[in-house]
Amino acid sequence: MGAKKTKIKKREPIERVYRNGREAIVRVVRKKAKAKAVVSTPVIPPCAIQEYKRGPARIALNEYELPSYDTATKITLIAKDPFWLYAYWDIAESSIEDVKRQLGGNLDGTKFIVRMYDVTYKNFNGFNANHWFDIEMGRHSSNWYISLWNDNASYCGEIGILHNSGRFFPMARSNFVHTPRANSSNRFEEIWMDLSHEEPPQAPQGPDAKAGGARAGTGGSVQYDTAGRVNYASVSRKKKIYLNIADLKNYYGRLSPLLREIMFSRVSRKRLYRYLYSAMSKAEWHDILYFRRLHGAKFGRRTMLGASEFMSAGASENLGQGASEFVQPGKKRKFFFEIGAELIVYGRTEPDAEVRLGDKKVELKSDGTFSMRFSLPDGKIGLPFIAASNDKIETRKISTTVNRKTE
Amino acid sequence: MHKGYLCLVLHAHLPFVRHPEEEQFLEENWLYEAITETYIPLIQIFEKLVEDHVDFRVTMSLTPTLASMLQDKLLQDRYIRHINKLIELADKEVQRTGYDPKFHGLALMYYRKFIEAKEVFADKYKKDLVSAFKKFQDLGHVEILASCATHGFLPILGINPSDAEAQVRVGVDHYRKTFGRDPVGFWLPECGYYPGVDNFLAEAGIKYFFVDSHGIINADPAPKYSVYAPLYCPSGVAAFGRDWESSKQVWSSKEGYPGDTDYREYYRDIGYELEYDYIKPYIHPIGFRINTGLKYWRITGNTDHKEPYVPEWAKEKAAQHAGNFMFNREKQIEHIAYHMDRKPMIISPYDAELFGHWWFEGPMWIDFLIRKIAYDQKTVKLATPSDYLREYPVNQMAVPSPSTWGYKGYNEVWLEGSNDWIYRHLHAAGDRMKELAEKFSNCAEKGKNDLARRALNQAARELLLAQASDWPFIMKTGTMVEYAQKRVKLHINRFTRIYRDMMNGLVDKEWLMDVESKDNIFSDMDCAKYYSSRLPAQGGSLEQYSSSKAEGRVEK
Repeated sequence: MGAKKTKIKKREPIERVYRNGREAIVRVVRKKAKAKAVVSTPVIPPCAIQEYKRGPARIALNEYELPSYDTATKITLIAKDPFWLYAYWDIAESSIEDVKRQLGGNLDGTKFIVRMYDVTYKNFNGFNANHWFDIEMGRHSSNWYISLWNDNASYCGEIGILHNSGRFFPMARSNFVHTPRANSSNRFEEIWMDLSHEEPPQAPQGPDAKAGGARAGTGGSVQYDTAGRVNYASVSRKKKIYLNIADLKNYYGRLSPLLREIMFSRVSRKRLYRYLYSAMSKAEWHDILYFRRLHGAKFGRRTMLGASEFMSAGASENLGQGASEFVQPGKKRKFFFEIGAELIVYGRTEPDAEVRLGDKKVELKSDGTFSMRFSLPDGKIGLPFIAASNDKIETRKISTTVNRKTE
Repeated sequence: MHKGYLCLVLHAHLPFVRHPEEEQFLEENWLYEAITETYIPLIQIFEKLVEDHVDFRVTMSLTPTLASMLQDKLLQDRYIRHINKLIELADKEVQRTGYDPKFHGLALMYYRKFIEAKEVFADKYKKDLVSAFKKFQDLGHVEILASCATHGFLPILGINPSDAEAQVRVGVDHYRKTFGRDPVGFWLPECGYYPGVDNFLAEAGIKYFFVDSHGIINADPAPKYSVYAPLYCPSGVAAFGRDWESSKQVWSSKEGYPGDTDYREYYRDIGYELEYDYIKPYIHPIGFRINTGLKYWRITGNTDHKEPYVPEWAKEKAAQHAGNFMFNREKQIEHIAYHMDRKPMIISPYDAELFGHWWFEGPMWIDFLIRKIAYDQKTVKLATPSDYLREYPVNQMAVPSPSTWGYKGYNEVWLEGSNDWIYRHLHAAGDRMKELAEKFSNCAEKGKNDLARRALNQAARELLLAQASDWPFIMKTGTMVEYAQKRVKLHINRFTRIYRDMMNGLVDKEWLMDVESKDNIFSDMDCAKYYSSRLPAQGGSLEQYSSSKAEGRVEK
């Protein structure tokens, strides 16, 4: 195999090029798996954790300096919205060395790329992507926003090194992501589920509800009660169509129903029938097609959408995030000039005397002084102070008036 | 006979902010302000409604982080300090405005509010507001939703399924512990749904959750009844969709009610307006000005010119707006019910902190709305999703579309230039947590190696705290960015340190104790077990497991 790798004929299928690159990765992975198997099994002593005081400097971390993870090559994809993905990665020096070795010691004529595979509706094995594209990266970039053409698609990416000859040396493969739909589904078949046989949601009345019980409800496995057990006649007069378990699994396997739509138009009905709905009877199959052609069905649904109709792409468009629009920092003011007036009145008397302003008592400080501040609006304010000595024999009255006028 | 239901959902959440290391910490004010302005007014309203025998049903979340803070001794005592300070300030203001008729009444209003808040908090509920909400739930008026442990944003955390699962399961177990019953509904943080997350909910015994409108509308196959009836996910958990129209009326600061000119202006606070020396004792100890909560102006208009706030006008407007909201829902339901074979349900979820904190008259509006719905019409009825599922156990099955209630409807708010760097660390830490839990779960059993168990649990706590969706959200909105960045880095670093220490077989006990006392959320839960496949997950069974083992040993 190793000999073959270096001699690639021009017109060999592209998969071949791939495969050679891939074998390297498979080998590495296998090696790692082997190595892991050896490392992880040795008996860890029941508990190896011991205590130590005041860690030596090597472990001390600056609280705000972030760790790095470049001991292993890894790439992760995250869907941002229907048309954008975010990818981040770390490249280990050892992965680059591996590739270098395969290329004969240097990286001349190579570039770092992220290869994105569209794996919508595929059980991806490395070769069967719907299509793929490359994004060129610098060695030291570590993340990228990737724009896509289609919503509702599955993607997987590989970070690797591309040689001028076209050989690609992937160093790591990402997780699979599925982008959200941007529009409503094209399928209108109705599937109904009856959970009345299950324990109904616990009535909120009564404080004596049981606590901390075992997991209630579904008992682990999903119950797809979609068949004729429900009397649908009472629900709606329209025909109900249901899917089999395998089809439900396809949903969760994130195989795109959109592709089915495309296939509807391209593949002959018979083949498709065999391919997709082999478990269904002919009559059921007919129902699906019949239902799809019902123009009224679509129309009826439109009237249902009501307010939400105009929000085709991603709902809350104009909505801002919840409170975020309130959170925005205060508005920008250019120039401003404000004036306020306050009035401070102060005075002093014997520390043990009693001072009143109108009928309100004024707190005296320990040395007999007092001070009060008032907000001062336009207009006239009268301040009648009365002080009475401790023995109530002597009283003094001072009235003062303040007039404010703003123009 | 009513024709449809309105489900009012209040999502009460704050990130875990607790800094015992500092005497006064600015960000802790988030909690104190929310207590004074939102939680206590809501409690007062609910109390009054119960007293008046008004029939009402409200759905509410009280996230584990918020509930933990409300039950934390240190924060409770600090709130008392905070409210005392406010009462003192309001008292001074009452005196200062004595000759100013425009503001004197307002100062008195605040004074009264603060006094009442203290009374409710300290005397009535003995500093534990969670018990208040629990009481309303036990009375059958409020249905409290469970939520993720620390408000983790599942669509992105879900790349490591163990992270998403732990967020859900810690949240559910915390709920059982706090409210003494099994949760029925679940609040997905930021309404962040992706197909498959419902499996974790189903396993935890949850019956329903909420998604944004397009999560339902773009579901596959297309929903027959739009957002006005729930869909069952294939796992059997029901997804209720947010009604966009009713949301906008309340949320939007421009078209919505909160922007009305008679309502109180949030951005004019005496903390910024009064003379420096006078206000200094009530702002940040370092000396920069902050909001005090005393605000004297109304929105007035679009300009900087503001007029004084008039509580009577605002109250009148709140009543009008509640009437308008109810009228719109009536019309909406009449229209929709015509097309449906069942009663429609309108889901109106809001951040609870919108009411009272941002929209000062919000709690009043809720009060008016509930009373009007109870007495003034016969079309709409308040209900919770579990009421609805009891009435309609047969629902359409479809897979909701991945969605969030953030700007543009997907993950953009939590994944963009300002905050995308955190996910590298969150995912890596998630992997490492799983590695730790698998490797050391044998010593995490009680009584075996206490130090290892504690280190392991603290690692899980640090990871959970780093995962809060609040941090990327704050980084995006641009206020307090530095604090959010610090928090993510801090928790990632604490986690990494424990990880490395454990891998080296040495744990610094003193340091660990210090961290335990600071990040003390879920301190009475074994958080690490949720990451391990070896340990039994259910609460009590862990003890049974280890005790049966111990018995076995004795026999030998």
